Amino acid sequence: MPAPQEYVFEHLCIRPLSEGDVDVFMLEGCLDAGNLPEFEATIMKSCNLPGAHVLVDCEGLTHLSSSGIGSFYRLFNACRSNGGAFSICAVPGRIGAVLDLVGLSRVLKPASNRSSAVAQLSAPGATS
Amino acid sequence: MTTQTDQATRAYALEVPGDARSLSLVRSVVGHLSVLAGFEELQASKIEIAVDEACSNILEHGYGDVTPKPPIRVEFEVQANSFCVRIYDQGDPFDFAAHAAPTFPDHWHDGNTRGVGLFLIKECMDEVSYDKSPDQRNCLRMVKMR
Repeated sequence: MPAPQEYVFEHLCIRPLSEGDVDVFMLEGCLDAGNLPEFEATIMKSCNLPGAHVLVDCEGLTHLSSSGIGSFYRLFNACRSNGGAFSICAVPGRIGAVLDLVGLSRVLKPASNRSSAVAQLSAPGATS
Repeated sequence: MTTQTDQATRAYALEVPGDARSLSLVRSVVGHLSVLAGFEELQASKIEIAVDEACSNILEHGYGDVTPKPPIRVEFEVQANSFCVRIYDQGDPFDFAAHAAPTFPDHWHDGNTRGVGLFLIKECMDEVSYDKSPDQRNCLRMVKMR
């Protein structure tokens, strides 16, 4: 069965696409406690596949709560546990400032845009 | 939403259902009010983050599995040099004084993926206190100075 063109949840739209061997999820809207379970379940399906390379594109993200921040780390860990890699990219400035504040930028190392993130994740031996 | 105005202070109040779907509405109101109060976008977004985290904590920890969850009341007081937010809930209180700021990035490497909300609240606001209101509701008071 083909993957849906987009997932629409409360105040959040997720558009999946593939770039080479990288599963990209483009976010549009806010990520908070109101839609976190649906968001995490959607992305986690890819993160749980052995060796998966997963990228969350945050260009359209308008708000990220601390529950969403924790979710990013759980997705990162899931990919790492399964021998894959997880990254985020195109993080808007004020959201990036929050990630800096809680030290997660040092862990996730967000890329400035999708193409450079895909290049990093596609590099031989790329793991979280 | 109620509004009260005098020469020195503008006061607003908002009561929303105890439901995570209310968070977006609360953020929207906070964002608008803080911009109207004259805060620049970055400072307004910090107030928005703090209020969002406070309401999220009430829903997740204060109200927990209670069904239906009681409402959350948010009161705003705009003064010449400050923006004060009081958030009232009827949930289990928490030990505000015992909260210790996490150390990052160790917090993540130790396997924690929660416990960041109150840290963000304190980082985003200039004053934060927690007490019981006269009618025994919990009250988180946060102030952002201009």
